[in-house]
Order: sequence, then C-alpha cells, then structure tokens
Amino acid sequence: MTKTILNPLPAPTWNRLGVNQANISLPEIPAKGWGESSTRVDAPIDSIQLECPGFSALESGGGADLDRFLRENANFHLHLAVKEGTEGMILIQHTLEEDHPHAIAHLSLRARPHSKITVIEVIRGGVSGSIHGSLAEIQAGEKAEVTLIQLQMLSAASVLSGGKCLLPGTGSAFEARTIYYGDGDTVLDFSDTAVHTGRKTRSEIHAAGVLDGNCQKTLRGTIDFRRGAVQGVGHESEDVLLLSPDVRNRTAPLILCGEEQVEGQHAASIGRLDEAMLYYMASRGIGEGEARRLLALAKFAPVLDALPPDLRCEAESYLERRLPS
Amino acid sequence: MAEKTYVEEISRSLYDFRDAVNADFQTDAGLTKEIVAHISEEKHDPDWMAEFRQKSLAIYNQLEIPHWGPSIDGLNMDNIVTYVRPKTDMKGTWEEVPEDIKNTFERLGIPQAERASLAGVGAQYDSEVVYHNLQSEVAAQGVVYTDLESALTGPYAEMVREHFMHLVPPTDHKFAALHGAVWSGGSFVYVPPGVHVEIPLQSYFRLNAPGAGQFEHTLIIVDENAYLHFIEGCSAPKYNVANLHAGCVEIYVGKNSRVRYSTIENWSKNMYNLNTKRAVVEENGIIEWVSGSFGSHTSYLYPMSILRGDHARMEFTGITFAGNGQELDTGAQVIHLGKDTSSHIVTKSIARDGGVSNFRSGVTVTKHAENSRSSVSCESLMLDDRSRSDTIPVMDIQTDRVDVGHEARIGRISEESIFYLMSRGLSEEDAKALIVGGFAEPIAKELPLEYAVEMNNLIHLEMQGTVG
Repeated sequence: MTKTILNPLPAPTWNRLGVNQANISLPEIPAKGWGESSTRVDAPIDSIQLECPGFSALESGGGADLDRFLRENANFHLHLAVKEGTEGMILIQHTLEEDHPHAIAHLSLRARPHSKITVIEVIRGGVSGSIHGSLAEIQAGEKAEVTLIQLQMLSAASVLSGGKCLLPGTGSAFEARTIYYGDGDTVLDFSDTAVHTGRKTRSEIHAAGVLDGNCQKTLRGTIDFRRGAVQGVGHESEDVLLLSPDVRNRTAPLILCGEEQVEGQHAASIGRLDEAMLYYMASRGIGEGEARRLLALAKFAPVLDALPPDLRCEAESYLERRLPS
Repeated sequence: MAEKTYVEEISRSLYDFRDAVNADFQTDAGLTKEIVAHISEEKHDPDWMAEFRQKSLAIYNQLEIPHWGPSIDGLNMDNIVTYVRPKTDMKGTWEEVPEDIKNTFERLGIPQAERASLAGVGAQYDSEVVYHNLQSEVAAQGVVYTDLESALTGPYAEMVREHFMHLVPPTDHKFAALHGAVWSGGSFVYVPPGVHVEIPLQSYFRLNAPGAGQFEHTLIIVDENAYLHFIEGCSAPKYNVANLHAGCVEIYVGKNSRVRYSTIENWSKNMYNLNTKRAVVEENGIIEWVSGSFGSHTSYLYPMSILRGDHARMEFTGITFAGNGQELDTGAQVIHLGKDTSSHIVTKSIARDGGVSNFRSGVTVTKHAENSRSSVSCESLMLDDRSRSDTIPVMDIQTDRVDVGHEARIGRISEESIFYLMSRGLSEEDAKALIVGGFAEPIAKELPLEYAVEMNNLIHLEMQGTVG
C-alpha cells in the first residue's frame, strides 16, 4: 500500500478537526487486476472526442499528490472534449469484486462553449477493504453546462473522490450531485471544488448520504469566487442521516470570495430523522417504518430526480435494501 | 455615470492619540530565558509561576507558527518588548492615577462609564493594571475583582493556581505558550454561589508603547447559581512598528450559572491580535459571547466553549469589520461533551477597501454528547471587489443522536432591497444606510448600550451616489 495525502482543504483550518487533508492508503495494482470499468456514451459519438494532450494542465480537487498518483496508476482514464454546441451523457461504471477489489478512475473533461454534458459515475459491489478512487478535472467554456453525478452503490468499500471544476467561460455552469451510503469500517472522503473566474457562472454542489456502523466520512465542498467572477452564483448543501452512535461525520463547506458581486450560500443538516415529522406522518396513518423509509428516501430526491429512469430505479432499490427496516 | 456606494472608514481619531512613553521599567526586545526570568523577578512571582513561565518558554520554542491562518510574517518576536511597566503602582482611587495615564482613560470614557453603568472597573496601561475598583455593595456580596498579580499571592492564591492556564494550556498553540511565558496584568474575578452581579464589570486594556506586546490574563470563576456580565475593551494608538497582543481569557461557568462576556476590540492597525479565549460550562450553565472586532492589522480570534455539563449552552454573537490593510480571521469554536447541550453561533462580517474578513468555526459533538443541538449562521457583506471574505466552517460529529445545522450566505447589498425601499419613499443613500445598518443591527442590539452607541460611531456610514 502506498501512503498518499489527498483532498487538501483549499483553505486549511485547525488541524485538530482532521479535515485539512485525508491521510489514506491508496491501493497498489491488485494481483488479479483492477475492478471492471466500462463507459457508455449516450450521445452522437462525433459530438465527443477523445483528447489527451493538454489535459495535464488541469488539476483535480484531490491535490497535486493524488493527481500524480492517478495519472500514473489509474486503471481507467477518460479524457474528453465535448464539441461546441452539442449535448450528451456519459455513463461510467465500476464494479469491485473479490478478485478485483479496487478501481481507480481518472476523468478529465473540457466542455467547449455552448455544450451540455452529464457524466454519471456508478460504483457497485465492494468487498471488505475495497477502495474506489475517483478524480475529475473539468473545465467549462462559455455557456457550457457540466453535470457530474456520482452514485456510490457500494458495500464495505472505502471511497476517495476529488473533483474540481474551473468555470472560466461566461455563463458556464457546474453541478455536482453525490449519493453515498457508508457502513462497516469504511472511510469516505469527498472533495468537490468549483472555481468561478468567468462572469455569470453558476455552481451547485449537493450531497446526500447515510452513515452507519463505524463509518467515517469527510466531505469538503468549496465554492471559490475569484476576482472578476461578476454575478457568479454558487450553492452547496449536504444532508446526512446518521444511523449509528459510532459513526463520524466531518463536513467542511467553504465559500472563498474575492469578488463583490456574487451570491454564495451553503447549508448543512446532520443528524437523525425529524421526530416531529415522524409524529405528523404517524398521525396521518403512516406506520413508523414506512415513514422512516419515506423520509430517508426524500433526502436523496434531489439526486435521484436527476437520474435516467433505469438508474433511478436501481438506486432507489439499493437504498431501500440498505436502509434499516 | 453611477458612483460606487461608499462606506467610510471607521474613524479612529478617538483612539489614535499617543502618550510619550514614560516607562518605569521595560525588558529588552526579544524573548530569552533571561528576559522571562527578569519578568518573574520584577513581578515577584511565586516559585511555581516562575517555573511555569520557563516551561512555557520551552514549549514556545518547540511549537511552530500556525500554518492555516493569515500571514504573521510581519511579526518579528526579536523586536517585541514583552514587558513595559508604567511609572505607577495599581491605585484604588481614580484621583491617585498619574495625570497622563488618567487623561488617556478619561479620553476613552472609562471613568464616566464606571460612574454611569458599571459595578467595577480595571484599567491596564501597557503591561500593568494601573487602576482597579469594585463597588462596595458588590464586594459585600463576596465578589472578588482584582488584578491577577494581587490574586496570585492573596487569599485566593490556591484557586488561581488550580485554574490558571488549565483551560488554555501552554501546549495549546505557540502564542498560548508565549502568553504563559510573559503574561502580565489582567484580572481575576470570583463570583460566589448564588450571587447575581446585576451591573457589569469592565476591564479596559490600553497599549501605549510602540513595538511592545500586551499579554494580560483574565481569569473568571463563577460558582454555582450565579450570574456575571463582564465587558472587555481594548485600544492602542497606531505606530509604524508591529505591536502584539497575545492575551488569554479563561472562564469557568459553574452549575446553573450564566456568564456573558462582551468584547469590543479596537486595536490599531499595526497590531497583531493573537488572542485566546476559552470557557468551560458545567451542568445547566450558559456562556454568552458578544464580540465586535474592528481594529488590528491581523487577528486570530475564536472563543472556544467547552460544554462539559449536561444541558450546558453557549451562544456566540459576533461582528467583524475589516478595512484597508486588515486581515481579521474571527469566529467561534464549541466542543459538546455533555448530553443535551446546545450551541448557537451567529456572525456577520463586512469587508471593505481591500480588507479581508474571514469567518472560521469548529463545531465538535463528541460521542457522549447525545441529544445535542448546534446551529451556525454566518453572513458576509462585500462592499467592493478589492476586499475578500472567506467562510471556513467545519462540523465534526461523532454520534448519531444530534441535530446539527449550518447556513452561510455571502453577497453584496441587494439591489431589489434598495429598489423596494426607494419605492417606499426613501432616498437611495438612506436606503443603503438602512440596509447596512440593518445588517449589523442583530449584533448591535446584543452589545451593552454604551458599546452599541460606540459601534454605531465606529461604523459611520456615509453613502453617496447610486449603485456602482
């Protein structure tokens, strides 16, 4: 195992809180190879081109150490430039199994002006000690829109995820939505950053998750308004449902602001299901178990609503299966 | 052509007068074992304190400067004079205080405030307390309010020894260690069980000497079922050399007690304000922090509340106003240890004219703090594109039976609000003044009256022209 520091907080804070960086062991190539990975492109193929040169200039939210590690070790590289004025969807799927417990993915994407691209990354499977690493480097041109959805449908697997989107294009937009379910002794470490440099840029960073067992999760979400990002708008939120007294949840939602004419907001809600809401639902004739299930699923609705029907069904049944009855 | 909204710099004329430095004694600049020993000797430290200072110095030399906050590269400890004793002993009546020092505090309005609205006053000038007084009725209730040096050897010596730098140990960070080595001045307050001090006590700290440091220590112990409101004010004239303030406040809030600690920090813009404040709250106790940060070149200020007892509570209300040349890194920290504890943090910050105002918070809910609740709300207002405002909150939750919420907002004066107010008959200038005043108002109303008035004077808003 290689000791690597990843996901540094863009503006560090007190060390005692343990969010300045994630100290974690990244896997070496398993004896029987990496986990299975595949890509499906639901768009006219000529609207998306493979392009490697120049992508090294981009950087992910994982930090320089992790960028270097993944460039050298990732089993899955996807370098895309979405053509001007086109729309498309990319589905990336990873499966972790007994013989292939780890997968490390590296996505870099340039959305040319006026393009619109949705990237859905689905991670399934997992065995004790599995690790899934994911690194995204995104750059959006004028009025380009990039949506990055990550569905962590794993069990017993740790996750490292670092995404960074640069928004230099006027009117460009980035949306990141993440669902996770952590249990056992797993470690989940997320870092998403939107860097606003262009005028009238927008970012939406939202995550929803459930923590059970001894799971330890850290989420860093950063909206960075650089000087000149006039009329930029950024929102971020996280909704975390805690199901075990032994979990540890760390959330660090940052707004860095060097521009006057912007609007930035973040919100976080961490804890149990709302007892008052449960009581209300019970008074309307809904059993406690059903009420808990409905309220838990409602936390994921903003992400589930953005999915294609087949993936939405799969994600819903995964969550229903995992949530305590 | 539309003019930019203009918000005037805080007027500092009230604070920027200087006295000629007329010290009775001062150490050499820098920090060595010999200088620390010299301070011990000058202050007639008990043996344990002299030893404590030397241990703190050793810790100081081992610890690194924090890497996570604003730059303090302009602070060179080799140039800082850590102890400056004015030419007077502590006086119990105002008339006895030397004329030049008395004039300083007269100009700052301290004696007037004492007569009008305070139960007791302490005034520190450079490294030593020059005046301390407590109303006889309050003293008759058993309340102790004195300078810390007297307390070290008086009837409460053992209590001081048991509590001094136990909440903020020298190992906490480099400047806590520095404080442990060279602290001087400050106050000791003890409120006995069941006593409600209805009128506030106030300490005022004035640093007059250029290139000096002020390291006062405030130790407050409020026993069970008691109440205290303590007010702290500080200011200094501006010099072109760096000054340092590394004070320390430790507050022990007993069972069923409530302490309100209000601060107006108005140091000059050559000041590095690296202050540490911490409270521990026992069962059913309440700590309330009210904090206004306006001065300093660079500030690190994040009062921490440790909610040790079940049902303990903390409330933090703060406002920060950063102007040209200032980098004010402020916020709050809370650690929930007891069950059913709650914390509520509300802050506002304004950055203008190239100033940097950062909000930083840390909410920790430990494994045994079941049924705890915490809410954090911070709002930042940017008044031009040369300024900067970062929001860096962290929540560390270690159990499931909690309710933790956080919200933050950053932006500028809303054009819709200006439009609405103008549609109701206000001029544009008045509309903007009203909005900025309204932004700060929830904090201002928490300040003691005389400080709310002072804050309104500090944030003197002058609007002209239209939206830029």
